[in-house]
Amino acid sequence: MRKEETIKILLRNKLSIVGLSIIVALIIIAILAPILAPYPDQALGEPNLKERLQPPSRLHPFGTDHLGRDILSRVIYGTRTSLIVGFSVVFLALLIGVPLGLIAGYFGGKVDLIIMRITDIFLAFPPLLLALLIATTLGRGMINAILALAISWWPWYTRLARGMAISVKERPYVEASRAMGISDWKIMIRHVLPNSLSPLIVQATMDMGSAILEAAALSFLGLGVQPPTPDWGLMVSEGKDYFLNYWWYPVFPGLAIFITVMAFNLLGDAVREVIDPRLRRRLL
Amino acid sequence: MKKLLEINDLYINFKTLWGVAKVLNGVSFNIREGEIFGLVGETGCGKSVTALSILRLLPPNAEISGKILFKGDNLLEKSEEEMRKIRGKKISIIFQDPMTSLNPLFKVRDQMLDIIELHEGLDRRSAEEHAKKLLKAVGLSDPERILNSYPHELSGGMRQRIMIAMALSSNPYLLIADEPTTALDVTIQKQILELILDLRNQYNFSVLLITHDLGVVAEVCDRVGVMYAGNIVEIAPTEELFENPLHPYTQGLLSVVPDPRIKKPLKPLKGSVPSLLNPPSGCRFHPRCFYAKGICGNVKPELHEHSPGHFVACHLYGGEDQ
Repeated sequence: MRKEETIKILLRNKLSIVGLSIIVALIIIAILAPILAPYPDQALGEPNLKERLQPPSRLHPFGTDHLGRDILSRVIYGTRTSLIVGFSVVFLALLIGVPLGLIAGYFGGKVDLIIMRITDIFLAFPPLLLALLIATTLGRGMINAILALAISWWPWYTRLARGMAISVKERPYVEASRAMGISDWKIMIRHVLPNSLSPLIVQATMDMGSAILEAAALSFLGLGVQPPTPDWGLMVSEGKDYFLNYWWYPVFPGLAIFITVMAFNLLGDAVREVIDPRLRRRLL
Repeated sequence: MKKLLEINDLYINFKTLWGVAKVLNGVSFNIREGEIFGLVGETGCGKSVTALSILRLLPPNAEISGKILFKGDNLLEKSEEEMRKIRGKKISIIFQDPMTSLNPLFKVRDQMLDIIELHEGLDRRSAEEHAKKLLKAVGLSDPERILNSYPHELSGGMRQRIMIAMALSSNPYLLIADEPTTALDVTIQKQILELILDLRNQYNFSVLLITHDLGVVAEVCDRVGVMYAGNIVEIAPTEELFENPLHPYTQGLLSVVPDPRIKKPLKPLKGSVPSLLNPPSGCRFHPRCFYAKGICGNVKPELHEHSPGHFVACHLYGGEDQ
């Protein structure tokens, strides 16, 4: 895959530029949060009871919440939480799911049977329900929410990786490697994994948005990030009681979730186009 | 010449959903040191299965019996661990399609050095020197550029040369070439065959050359085995086979090689290759044979030496029926 070509395709598709720019912007916002946020102390939880539930103004562009904290600052800081949660969930799920899938697909037989039946058990639960169950068992908090989501997420990657491994292991270069005396593990790392990555990358990119959304759902239900940590899901949850009279409280963090998830989905589509050679040709 | 590889009475069955496919039906032949032995036959007659069985690379649903002696050791009794040390080091194989025999994601350098480091225990730099030497030996004049290329940047002929270089990196005793030129165009085919011949003369390894192309056989092989439906029906030195084919199947094969100088209709064999799930009894060729007689349908003919060095498995040439 040539680099110039990849960039060309990414730039050709306007929506993918939008997605990519939003994500780059979010990452910058997350890194520079202490500089960008007008009230960093309030973002981290310091109450300011004199200015409770102020509507958006020049001082507080997104208004303030029920403890008088600047919502813009908290949304800015919330970017950190969301991105960390999203990346960690997907990364952990990949870390568990991909090796298991590759082993199942490459070796087949009983190993395959056992691994796939275990994934079936996990997939039999509605995803959020399983995450809820695990989060309840582990207790509240961000780390536990990440673990809960990752544990309910990895089977999808196992299935995908298994399918890829089954198709890649039949390719002549894998047979040639075996015929040259290379061990199964080395073949898996050197040949099967790299040639299975494309669909996994696409899936992981798209899942980043869903992971953020589900983490927000867990927070909303009180099982994820705990106050006073700035988190979009938690803010929507706290703001829902004030929605009718103080609309800005839940709406701005909700918008942040919406924009982030959409950006990851747009990027996922673009990544698929870059990786899939058939779509590539059409786009060039 | 000493025998390097001896295959004795090799039977291979595959369990499939539709029944047991009797793919090899008592195959025996040997390869001498420094010899190029050709195995010819139609698609599906068991040539590639024979090759893969030598390296024990058959899928798990294969049942194997018989003996494969390599330098006196039975390869069928080796552990997987021991086999890994034989594959690529003592016995190498190159496959039909050089276009897909290299991993598209890595440069040639990584793939060659992997093999060389594994078998030769060299460090990165000496391995690279060795790789360059090998690439020159297979006629690639700019090894540095080749090593830095991705497979898709190279032609089929170049890739097959790289595969040969990799196969020969540990000075194997035996090179198995499974249809090495089938996917290449005619001029490149000839170059690759000449390369194999040259390298054999230089390094004196043995070659098991598997092909369906009699032209290839005539070009490079010292001796030839003809396979039909899982049996070896005839083994002879190349010239002898072309001048004096004994088995009706061999005669049939030779009669369908077109000769551009003489315009005459080809005489194809009647019928088609039998299903290996339910092969004919006795001689597997008898339903298609012009000379078939009663015994052919009942008794499997064994290979016997008809004249010195010329073996044939056919009831027409003596054996039990006389």
